[in-house]
Amino acid sequence: MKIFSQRNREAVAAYLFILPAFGLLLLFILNPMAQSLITSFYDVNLISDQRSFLGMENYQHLLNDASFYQSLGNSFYFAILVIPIQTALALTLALLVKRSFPGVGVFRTIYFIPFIISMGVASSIFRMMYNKEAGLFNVILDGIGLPVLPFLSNPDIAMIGIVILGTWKSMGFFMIVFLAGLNNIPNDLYEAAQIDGAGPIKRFFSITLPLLKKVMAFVIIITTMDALKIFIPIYVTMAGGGPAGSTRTAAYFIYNHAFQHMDMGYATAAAFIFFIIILIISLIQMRVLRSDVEY
Amino acid sequence: MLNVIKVMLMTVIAFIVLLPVSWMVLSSFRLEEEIFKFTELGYHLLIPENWTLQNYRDIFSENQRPLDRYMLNTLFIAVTGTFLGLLVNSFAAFSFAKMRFPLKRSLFVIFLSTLAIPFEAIMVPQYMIIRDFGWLDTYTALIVPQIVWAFGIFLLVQFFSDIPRSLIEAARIDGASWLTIFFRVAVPMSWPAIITLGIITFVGKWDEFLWALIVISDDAKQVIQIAIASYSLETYTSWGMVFAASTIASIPTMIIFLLLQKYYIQGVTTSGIK
Amino acid sequence: MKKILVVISIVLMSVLFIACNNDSATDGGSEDGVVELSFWRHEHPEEEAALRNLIESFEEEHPNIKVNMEIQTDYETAIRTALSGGTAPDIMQIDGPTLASYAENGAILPLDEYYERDGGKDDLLDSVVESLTYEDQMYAAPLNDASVAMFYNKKLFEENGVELPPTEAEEAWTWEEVLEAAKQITDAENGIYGWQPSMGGVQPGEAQVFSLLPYLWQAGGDIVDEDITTASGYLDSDESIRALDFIRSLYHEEGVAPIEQQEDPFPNGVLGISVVGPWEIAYLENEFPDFVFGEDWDIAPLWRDSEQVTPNGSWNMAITSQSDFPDEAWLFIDWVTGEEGAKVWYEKTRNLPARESTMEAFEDLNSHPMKIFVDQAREYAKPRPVTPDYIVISQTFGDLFESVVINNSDVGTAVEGAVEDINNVLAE
Repeated sequence: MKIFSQRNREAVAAYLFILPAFGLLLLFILNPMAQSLITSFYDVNLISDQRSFLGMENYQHLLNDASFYQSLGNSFYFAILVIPIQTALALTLALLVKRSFPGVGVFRTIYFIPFIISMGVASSIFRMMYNKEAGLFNVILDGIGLPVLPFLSNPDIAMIGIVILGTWKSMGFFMIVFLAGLNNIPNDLYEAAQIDGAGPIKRFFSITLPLLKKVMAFVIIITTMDALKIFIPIYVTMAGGGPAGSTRTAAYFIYNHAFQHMDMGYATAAAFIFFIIILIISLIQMRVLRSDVEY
Repeated sequence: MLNVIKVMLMTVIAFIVLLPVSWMVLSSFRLEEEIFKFTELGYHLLIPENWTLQNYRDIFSENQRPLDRYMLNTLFIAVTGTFLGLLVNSFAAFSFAKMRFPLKRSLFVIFLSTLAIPFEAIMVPQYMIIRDFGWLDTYTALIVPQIVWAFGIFLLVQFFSDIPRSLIEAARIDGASWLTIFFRVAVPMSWPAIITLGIITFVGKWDEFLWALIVISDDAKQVIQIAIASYSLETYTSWGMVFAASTIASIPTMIIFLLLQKYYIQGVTTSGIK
Repeated sequence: MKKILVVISIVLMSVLFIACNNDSATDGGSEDGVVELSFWRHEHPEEEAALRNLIESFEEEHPNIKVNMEIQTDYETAIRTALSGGTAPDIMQIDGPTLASYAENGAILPLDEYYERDGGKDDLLDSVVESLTYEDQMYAAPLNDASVAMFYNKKLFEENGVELPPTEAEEAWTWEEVLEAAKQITDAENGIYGWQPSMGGVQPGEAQVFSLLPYLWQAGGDIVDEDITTASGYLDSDESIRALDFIRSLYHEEGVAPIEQQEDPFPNGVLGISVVGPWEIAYLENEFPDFVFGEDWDIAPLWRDSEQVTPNGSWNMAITSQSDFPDEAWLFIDWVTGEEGAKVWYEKTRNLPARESTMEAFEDLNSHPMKIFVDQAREYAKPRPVTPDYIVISQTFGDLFESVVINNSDVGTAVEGAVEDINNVLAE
């Protein structure tokens, strides 16, 4: 009986802790999401106050829209490339700068700098750097005798250009997330392993990686969501999904239909199909990485 | 030997990472006509031929859009937003990570699912709410709707859940309230994670563009990214001013990061590991 | 325990309730008889200065009206969200190709009654009026018109011994003549190309489409029929296919056009011929003072084929249907875009006028180089299709151009897909 009321009291305290966050979530995010969901069943123009009910028509139309599938394909292509590359590089950087030595702060700060440049400006800079004739990136490649990479005008490699930009921009942030995680691994574990004769590689796979599991789960799930939603570089670096539409992602599709075509019903329907896909992927990832909340 | 290789590797990476940024910073000291002039590998590809502070003078002397005013606006929004965000999100994260209550999993999934919706899809209804509250053209509109952030909750949950339950049980037996446990046990043990969240929240606020664009139309209340974007016109862009303003704008965050990064140094002293 | 939960719920609900009911309209009301008009426009320092000037004189003339101009960065997103949320200004700046969709959705008001009452419409160029007329009603007043011409690097022409192009619009070069010059200038090994036939190069956007549609018209083709019901027989006509294939060949067999070039290729001396409008003159003079007009570069009329056609349409002013003061809004619009206002506008901005009276009033509009644009606007201008579906048509056409040029694919096959896409949209 006493235990029961103890648990009960814990539950109430827990709800109180969550209440401010949940109240704000309800008001500013779930509520707009619900309204967008309703919009997706209507024919509604962004700038018009008229709307007519369509039922599932927007959804049916989308499922027959080749350009929608193409945009989903582009989003997934980008995500599949960027997730392993970015995560591996971020972890490598974290391992390189985790221990204290003179000057390490400078390296940490340098690796973190790209993250504090705004995405819009970074995307413009990369657009200029990628220029086939005069961009810094290609001038250097050409100067050291390598073939130039025309990311901006070759549809086959354009997405690689976005992968490089995305990784450059975000790896510093995930580096500090990994650093925070590495910080939680007690040093005596490594010392004990070393006494047992474990080499650095063995120590990495038997201590670091398993103990970073929760952080790793966070990094992978968040990178997946961010990657699938990528928009600004598509809009700026690739000037709106170019060359020849090869970088039009799902988020670009949604933006284009909502704010260019002003077809709000169609855009929100696309957003909800996309939402369901991302959610399912994230839930599978959570299951696989078994990074659940404690019970 | 291994250390030498390591430092060399780190230096090479640092150069690669810095290249785009240095190009931006150095180009901010060029006149407009010089920025795209050099197209061959050489000294002037990075280093300006004629150094000038004109771009910096321009961004601070613009009558319509003085950059310092916008920096202060953004600083206010970023600091307030980060503080409130840390409080609200860490409360929720603590509860998800360490407390037992019904519907926990479902609630957590609801929170997490809000990260899966592209902002462009909910921007208009969110705007309507702000309009109905009469918050258009106020700082409140830039702060309050974004306090709760499932990303931050998710991040902190991963770190809070590493805190041993036994520690919390012990505190409970000593009669500590949950609030005390949160502030005395959970927070001190998770500084690196909280600092990380603080930095990214701050950077996110500093980066605010689209939302500020639609809820703020009063020039005096505008944020820094809008000012930077305003140097891009329909027919051409003053890249020198964009770069100068971006350089100035990244300084505050860089200083904050430099000051706070001591929290990422492993707490226990290292010994015997080379 | 339950009590606490109940209390929480009540608090939460009441917060929501209070918040939701805090509906404060901040519209420019008419206290003490002064009407406040809000006016939104996009970023442009010179035009902004001209408008401040015009607002000042307007407010002197009409002491009971005050005009608040707000400059929006990323204007289209801002104005569309505001229209959607019922917080739109009284007067909005509107770009030609978007007019029909704003009109169709009831976002802006027709101006015909005002024009009938106050006059001033006859003075406007016919092609401009046509571009602003949707379903027989005129929805916006033009600030100015736009056109494009052949900007050429005089030095490159002279160095290669190429005859210079004409200065009179009626003597415009044919595609073949331009191609001939472009071939002689092109020096691909050194990154110098003769001709960029698309405005701003190969990158998505309305600028590209604005400069490319004229090729179809010049060849005798079109993108859709006159009544804007179908693309079949127009975009896939022999004439249109010939035009598109000609453009494609410039990037491939002829090798005179670059798919990608450095920023500002024209003033940096690596592009012989580009296609831009009068706004470029000020840009080149301000940003590239060493690249001198008349010496290093010059302007010739836009090329022609079997027909001579040039594009038109620019920024305009419209009254939103959300305005409480449409009559006052019109007074301001008429002040800015009427005969006298248009002259001030030209003096300050040097944009191609939309009014015959302005064209006659200024000496420099009747001499080189502005005369080229003026003559083109008078004689050869053709508006883009005025339809709410224009945005989709434009994107489809841009995609078609890019895929044909970048992938060097067969034009005949590529147009089939584009025709189908456009027909689908028009059928809805």
